[in-house]
Amino acid sequence: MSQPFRITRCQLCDHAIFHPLPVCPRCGRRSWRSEVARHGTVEHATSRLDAQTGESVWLAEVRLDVGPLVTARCAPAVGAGERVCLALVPAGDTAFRLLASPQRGA
Amino acid sequence: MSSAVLIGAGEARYRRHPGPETTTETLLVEAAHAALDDAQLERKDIDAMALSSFTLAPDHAIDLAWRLGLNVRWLMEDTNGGASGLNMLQHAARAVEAGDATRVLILAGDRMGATEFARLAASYNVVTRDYLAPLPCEGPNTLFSFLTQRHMDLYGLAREDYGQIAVAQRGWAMLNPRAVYRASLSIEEYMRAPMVAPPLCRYDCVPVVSGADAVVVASGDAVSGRPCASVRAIVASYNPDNQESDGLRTGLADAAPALWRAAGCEPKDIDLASVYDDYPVMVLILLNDLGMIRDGDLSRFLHHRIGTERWPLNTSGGMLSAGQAGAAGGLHGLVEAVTQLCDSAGARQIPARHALVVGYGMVLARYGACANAAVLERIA
Repeated sequence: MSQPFRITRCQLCDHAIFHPLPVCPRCGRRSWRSEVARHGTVEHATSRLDAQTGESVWLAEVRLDVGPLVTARCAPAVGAGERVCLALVPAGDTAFRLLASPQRGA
Repeated sequence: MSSAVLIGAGEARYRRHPGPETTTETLLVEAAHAALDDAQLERKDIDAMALSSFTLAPDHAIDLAWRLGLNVRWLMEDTNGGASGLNMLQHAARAVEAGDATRVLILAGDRMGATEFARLAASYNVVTRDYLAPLPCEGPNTLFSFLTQRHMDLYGLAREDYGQIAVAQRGWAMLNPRAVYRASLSIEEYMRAPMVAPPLCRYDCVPVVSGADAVVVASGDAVSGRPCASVRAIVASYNPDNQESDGLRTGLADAAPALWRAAGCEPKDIDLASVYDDYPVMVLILLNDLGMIRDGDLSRFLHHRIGTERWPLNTSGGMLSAGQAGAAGGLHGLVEAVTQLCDSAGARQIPARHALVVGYGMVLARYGACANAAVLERIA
């Protein structure tokens, strides 16, 4: 089922990134820890038709509370400024999909 | 200033729906012969070759050299998509200046049917495969929707502003028998077009085609054939910001002073521009980074310079109307600039002396990481 979404943070300069990288883009060193990122705010959203299924897929750029900007699947008609919770859900046998759901009580 | 000159250009006809007889190799061969014919050269005159292609695998540049019967002393293969054309031009110019080559055939092309495009889009790089494709968010349309929204917010522009570029370029395409879309397009039709990824509509996204492009670069001291344009300056920028910025400014903003200094001219001297137009927003960003938009007034540039004056921007119709043939998209604008400076552009011919060519490409995670620009000058 769903798993917590984790970002990567440099243990030396504290810089946080979305996609894991071998070398910290800020300080150039290679000492990382992972950190759960649960909440964020939608900056932009759009929708497109999936070529395989013919269904409308909504996607958003979400600014995490802990810093990085991430690209995530989201619910239809999500708009800029909306608060969301993030989690990884299975997408196929081995892949995971980052899902941004409306934050309850927000 | 470089001593390299461009002595020919050619293109394999772009095809919206390639048949089974059309392969990446047949397209590259067609473009190679078109460029050699244009340069009035035979294959024995070529002693260097450069190639960019997403779909020639498992073959590489050396396989193509063999299959074309080219015996060369300098060879390169480039993987930089929309920035590949000018990257190959930059390397080729230095090779002929250094004496490592005399005449370089630069090639780019792809058979991009639906299957090839889907495969490329889903496995463009590791981040796309592991993070974007499972969303599913393969292909660049969604990411450039976000980028266009950021650009709209920053500059206060609306869809009909960006539409000026698509509409004006279609006007040029109507004069180019090689463009895949040549029917007239009004701003009203643009505004009514089906959405692809709002705010991007059908006319903001390049039609995927199959095709190939080629140019021949030669040493200025050893010119045979038909010299038509000198390479005055080329600058490039790769991974300027680790994908941690907003994508609204490319590495060309920092490289622009060096470009104009080396070219010995200014933005106002440019008579014609071929700017990588995967999306209209990128045309604006790249031109603004290079100081080509007076006072940074984007709205005035769009409505007056492009909309009313029809300033010569992407006179082939650009990729938006002529089509994007995979890696050939990185060479298409250079071929058009050379065609214009050689007075071979037919009904769309512009009396240009200086041409600007701009490349952009390779979305790593959120926006393109490669950008380059060249200034060419007509040889009288």
